[in-house]
Amino acid sequence: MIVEYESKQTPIHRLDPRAKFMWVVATIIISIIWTDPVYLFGLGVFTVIIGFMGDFPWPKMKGTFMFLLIVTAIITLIQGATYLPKVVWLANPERVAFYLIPRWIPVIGPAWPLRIGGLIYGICMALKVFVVLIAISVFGYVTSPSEVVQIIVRLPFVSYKSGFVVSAASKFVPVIQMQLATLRDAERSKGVDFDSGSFTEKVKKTTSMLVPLFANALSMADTMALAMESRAFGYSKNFTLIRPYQMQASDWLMVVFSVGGLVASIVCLAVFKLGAL
Amino acid sequence: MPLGQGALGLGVSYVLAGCYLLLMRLLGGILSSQYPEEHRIEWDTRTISRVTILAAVAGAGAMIKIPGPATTIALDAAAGYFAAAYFGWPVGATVAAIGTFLANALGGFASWFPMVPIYMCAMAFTVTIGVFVAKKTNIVFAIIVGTIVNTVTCLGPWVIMIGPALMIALLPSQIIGSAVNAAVGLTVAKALSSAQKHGKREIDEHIEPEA
Amino acid sequence: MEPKIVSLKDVTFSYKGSKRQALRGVSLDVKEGECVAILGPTGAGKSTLACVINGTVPRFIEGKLTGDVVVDGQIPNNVGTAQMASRVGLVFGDPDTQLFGMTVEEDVAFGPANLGFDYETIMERITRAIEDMRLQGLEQRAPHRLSGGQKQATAIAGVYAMLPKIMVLDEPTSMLDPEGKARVFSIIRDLNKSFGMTIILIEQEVDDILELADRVFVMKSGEFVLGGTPEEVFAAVDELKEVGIRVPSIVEFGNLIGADKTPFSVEEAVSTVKSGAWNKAIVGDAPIEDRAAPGLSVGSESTQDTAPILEAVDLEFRYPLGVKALDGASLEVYPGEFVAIVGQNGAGKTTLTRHFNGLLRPSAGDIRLFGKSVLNEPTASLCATVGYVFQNPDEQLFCDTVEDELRFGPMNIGMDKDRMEESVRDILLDIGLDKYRQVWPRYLTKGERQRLALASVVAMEPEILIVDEPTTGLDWLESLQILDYLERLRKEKGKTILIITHDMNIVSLYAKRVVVMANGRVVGEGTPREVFSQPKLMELAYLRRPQIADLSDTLWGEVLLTPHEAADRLKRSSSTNREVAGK
Repeated sequence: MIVEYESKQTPIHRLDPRAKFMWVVATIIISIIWTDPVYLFGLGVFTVIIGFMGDFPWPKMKGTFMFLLIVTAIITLIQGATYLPKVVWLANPERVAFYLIPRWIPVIGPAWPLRIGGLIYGICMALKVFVVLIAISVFGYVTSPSEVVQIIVRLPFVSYKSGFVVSAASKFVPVIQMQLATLRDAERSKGVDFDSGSFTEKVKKTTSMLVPLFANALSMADTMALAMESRAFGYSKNFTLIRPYQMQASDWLMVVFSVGGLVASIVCLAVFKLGAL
Repeated sequence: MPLGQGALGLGVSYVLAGCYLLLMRLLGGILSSQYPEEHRIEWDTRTISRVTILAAVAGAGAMIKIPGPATTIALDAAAGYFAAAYFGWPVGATVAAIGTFLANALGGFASWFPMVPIYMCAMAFTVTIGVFVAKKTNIVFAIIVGTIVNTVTCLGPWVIMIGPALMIALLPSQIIGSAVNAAVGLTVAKALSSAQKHGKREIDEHIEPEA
Repeated sequence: MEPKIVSLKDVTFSYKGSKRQALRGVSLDVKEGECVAILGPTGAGKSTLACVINGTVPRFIEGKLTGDVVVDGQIPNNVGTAQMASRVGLVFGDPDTQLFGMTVEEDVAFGPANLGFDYETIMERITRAIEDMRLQGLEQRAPHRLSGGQKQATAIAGVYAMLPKIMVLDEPTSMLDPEGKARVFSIIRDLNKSFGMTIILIEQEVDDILELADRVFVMKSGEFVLGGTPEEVFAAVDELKEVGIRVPSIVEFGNLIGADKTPFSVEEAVSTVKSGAWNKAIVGDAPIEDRAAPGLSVGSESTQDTAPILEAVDLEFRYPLGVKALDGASLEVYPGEFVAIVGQNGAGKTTLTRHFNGLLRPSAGDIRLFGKSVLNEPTASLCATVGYVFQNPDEQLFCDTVEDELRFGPMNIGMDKDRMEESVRDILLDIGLDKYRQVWPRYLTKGERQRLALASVVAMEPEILIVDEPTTGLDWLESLQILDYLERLRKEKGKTILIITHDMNIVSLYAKRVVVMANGRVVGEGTPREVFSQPKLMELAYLRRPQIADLSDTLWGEVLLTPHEAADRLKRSSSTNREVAGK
């Protein structure tokens, strides 16, 4: 996560994790089915409002936003140049906005026209990416990792064991990262210079620390298995989850709002073509 | 004609991901029946702890960045290949899928989140076909096939949704990244098992005099 | 008499695929509520024995087990590990691999939840375990954000929540700093004395088990070679030395002066001496053969005249998003010194030393090597002069064979090939790994791996060697081998040695100068004797001096470092006393 969970007392933090989960799922699905930039923008604004209510640290997203802005700008341009949807509400989608190679360049210009319809479609896709990213980041900020795992484990069709693997693995990532850092420092201390050399040399230098890394990982797995076994892992079919959450009125409100919004948007899209280009 | 990043495009992509899984089952099934000792797995505590740790290695590997010619390369898929070659395809596929999820989660889902399940299936399929080819021919072919399959399965859905333009832009870095990961994962597995076999004899000599 | 809760009779075990017997005819009876300590060098079979008791050997770790094992009225092999889990709790040394939860609370819940208890029962058990293990306030903390001692306390709480009658702890303090060790030992004392649990404790820390254990057993090569009350076992000084177990200095002192009753604590030793309950005749015969390094009695060598080889000037360093790890740390190291850097975890010891070969760069301050600033020198070239050995050998050995491992560094710094081969040959003989030159380093024992890791840096022929906690997880004999090697390098090759350590026994035996760090600064330095004479400094850095220093300070107001010194001192004072009495 770019923005790590922080324990705070905002109305969003206090919501039941299941309610928050419903919200993020609804937001993702709606962002997928809608194709109209205006609607998507509205959804984005709503997501941002939730973020503000949860006291989300926006400055931390700056780097990611800048990166995504560049990526989506490229996507938008490519779309504008190559793709032309049948836009419902736009009078003349095939109108050329501008040329990538402008008119005043002799011989080859004008070439590569960017059409209005394509540009709009590109913007719509960029918005989708942003909405989903913001929604998930906000969700990650207001929901503790342990709560996320509790939700995953409670999902239908997900066995307790697979939930355990995901949660334990994410717990071990920092441990492995520490080991990687040490291995790297140990190599540096023996005269390996990671900054010099050709690409293949760099790959070689990096991979030489992977043999001990994997070997250590395997012996760690053996100790872990022994520790799990010693704590009766897999003994009982019904693993009891701690924290049976109690849904409050505000949680129900969020659930009803999310599910209602989702259903409404699907119905409106199917029947009235609202939200579609 | 691209299908767009909406419900239709994504839906077709998910169906495609389902096909990856089917193909994986198929190849895996062949491996399991032909090499039951290596590729038939019992999901006991030991296997689960291995999957856990190796998935964590994949998650952490995503943070190793090797500056490459086209872009930086992360070693996120190497653990999956390693696991498949060392512990059999079911372990490898699971590690690849969970590792892909963790790598994306820790990277803040900077790629579009609805794609993550597709990537998970793609990686699981890729490492399975990787060890399949390695088993049937040799590591070099396995790296080549792994690279191609990885590139096609990960970029394919994007072609369905928004056309080939983006794919062409991403192609070089994707190919180099896939190749490095396949090569690293498979060779480390080989290096480790040969070091182990090589030392096995030695360790007996080593300990025996003491007894 | 209390009933036997653990009963092993003639137990033999060999791991699958190995001809060697890890356990050879082990018999052990443990009474309910007893605390039994098991000592022994690494590879003696102690961990195997622990796994036999909770049934993971041979159910989970396969092999051939013979003999009778009865634990809490059950035969572990017949019952299954899960059922045994609620009878026997097993705690390991490395806290990272035995914590699974995202939070402390979840981790503690893991065991009871696996057993399928209902929600109320689990919460009840969590609350109780967290309270009894004094983890209140940390319930929601992620395990990787805990200190080592807290992690291990969480691991014990997780086992404790399953309410076993027996707790087997396999070197639970081997990875911890002194504060963490103290925390874990006080928990173990509570478990045994307050909660009435039967404890089987496998340990290397002999000083701490003295007052804790009801009985002590010593293992070697899969067998019990000594066993009985602590008095009985620690009286057998020669046998212990042969096995490679350090005799607690207070006990050794008691043995040296022929005490009527072996003292187990400083107080007991003081009262023994004061009451005159010791055999004056024996003291006179006590051989004053210190295995201590030269220079111990000489005091600090005068080095201040020469120019320092390495200097840190007002270093400041902050980890990204983290606390200030160094806050104006300054240190001078002189050629040919043996310096020990001590202090609590988080005091900045590792952070400081990693600046010396450029692994870390300070935000303010200067590093000088031979008087020249090396702030802009890359690690790749600094490492030829400043060698850095990391704590864990498994995180710094990269090659397929022992031989290649030694060549790795020299090749990277472009050493002349003939010179390299010669130095590799010499080093192999020096560290006693000549036979294993073609062996994969991971197949060496922990002590051998540690020696190899050290040697692989020595092979680059650096002037200065920095060694980070070289004795973690090693037994006493292996520790001495490492430090003897370092001392040889210093004496014979004139290297400058800098070690980071928590072991005050090592400090008093080898260090010529001790540097005490706390809160990112150097807060004091001097000879071991000088540092141990400053109780305030020791307290500031959460250090505990060797017991013999406590004893001599109490008795005579001066700090002595070895039992022999103390015995000698006692002899002198008693003879003057007699003279005084005679007059």
